[in-house]
Amino acid sequence: MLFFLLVGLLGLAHADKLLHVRCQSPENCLQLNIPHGFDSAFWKSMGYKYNTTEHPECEYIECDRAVYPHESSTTHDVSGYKGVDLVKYGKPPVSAGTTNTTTYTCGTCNHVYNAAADGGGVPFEQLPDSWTCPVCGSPKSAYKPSTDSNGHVIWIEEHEADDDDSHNTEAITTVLAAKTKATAPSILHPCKNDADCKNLCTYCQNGVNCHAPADNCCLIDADCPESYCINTAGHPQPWKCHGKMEQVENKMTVPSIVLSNGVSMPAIAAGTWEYDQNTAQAAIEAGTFSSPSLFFLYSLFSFFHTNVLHH
Amino acid sequence: MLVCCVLLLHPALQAGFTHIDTAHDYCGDGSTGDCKSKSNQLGIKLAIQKQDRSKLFITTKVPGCGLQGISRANCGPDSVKAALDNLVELGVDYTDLLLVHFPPPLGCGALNCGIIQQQWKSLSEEILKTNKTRALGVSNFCISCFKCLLGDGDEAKEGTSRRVVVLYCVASMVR
Repeated sequence: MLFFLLVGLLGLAHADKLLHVRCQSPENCLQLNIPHGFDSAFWKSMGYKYNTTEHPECEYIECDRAVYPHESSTTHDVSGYKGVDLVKYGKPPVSAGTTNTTTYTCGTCNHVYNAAADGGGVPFEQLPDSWTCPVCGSPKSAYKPSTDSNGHVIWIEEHEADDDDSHNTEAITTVLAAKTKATAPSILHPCKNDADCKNLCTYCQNGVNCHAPADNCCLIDADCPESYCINTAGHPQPWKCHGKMEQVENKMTVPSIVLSNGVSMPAIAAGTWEYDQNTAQAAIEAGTFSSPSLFFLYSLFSFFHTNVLHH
Repeated sequence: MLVCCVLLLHPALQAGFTHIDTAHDYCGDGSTGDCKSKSNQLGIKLAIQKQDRSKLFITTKVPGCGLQGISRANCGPDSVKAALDNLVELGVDYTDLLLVHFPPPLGCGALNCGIIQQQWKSLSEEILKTNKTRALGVSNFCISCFKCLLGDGDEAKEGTSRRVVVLYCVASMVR
């Protein structure tokens, strides 16, 4: 019963929506806009050309205009199906010459930028400011240049394009020296003047790095040794560290169930299905929560929502 | 994905949760099922990368035969591939419990019994016995599916009370 109910819910979610399908190559992104989505006559007839099962280069989302900003052509009423549009986007010209081996890591989720996988081959430096982390959605500015082979954090100054290599080496040496002296938290935030450090409630030390964050200000979790940074999108800066979590000292004890092959399984799980509001509402109205498993998941969602999202 | 698995899982682990329940089609974008973008398993990978793996219990799932990229005709190998893809997404060498998420469309009668037997056999031999999961189980199955997998022959009537199914499951199925 639950299965059919879920299928029904998914079906509802698909109905009467404009479905976007994108199929990408390193150079281009083709985007289909299909009224009535999977239920449309177009999809039933032509969908095999674009479904993600057979075409891993395709996804059911729009083209990323930050990566493919140029609209090069638009075809209306594709194959005679009224309302179905096909738009071809291209990426910006890549300037020849510079190859950069610096890696860039998202300060929020630690995702390492991969030009081929994340940016259609565009070097990080050439991404538009509107580009966001493909994993967590943080802005481009959350990314930091990072790590040489010894694991040292290397902050590249903005003059890195200088031909004068010795200049860069000097800057790097200075920063590494500063890192050695720094007290916890040890994360460095590069700056040129005090204004660059206002979101950390501190000042620019020697024109190189912000002084350690004050008053629990933070940009990333590493600025908060005892908790985490409340840097969720929508929170105004300066961001604050969450209060120290008392549960750390007093972890709950979860009873276990021993499966028939002897494996011990904690009886309570952190469910990770993200409900959107409409689905949760629909499930409640349909009485789905007579099912213990879904009620359990919903309880967990409520736990998270209550304890984290409102902070 | 950030909200779900980095921001939310972190405090959950801090609070004492050790069991993470997920699936490839639990989405990281707020949609539900049949993800339009990325699985939240990628976010879980980030959230647990500094955790002691041996202290976590990770449950994930492969779709049923004929669902979400698993073909009916090639259900066994497709399911094995899905299980291996889960490991890559989660960044782990093994899961603690791998579940078949749903029965095939139209249930487990004569039409599908052989198919889910193939799925179970493939997962047993290529995932469970190779230690890529510590336990293998099913979810959302009705009694006809259990009878099929257990080789009991006579198929039970569809739509049996879920309470009975749960009892049947606890008594017999998780391997």
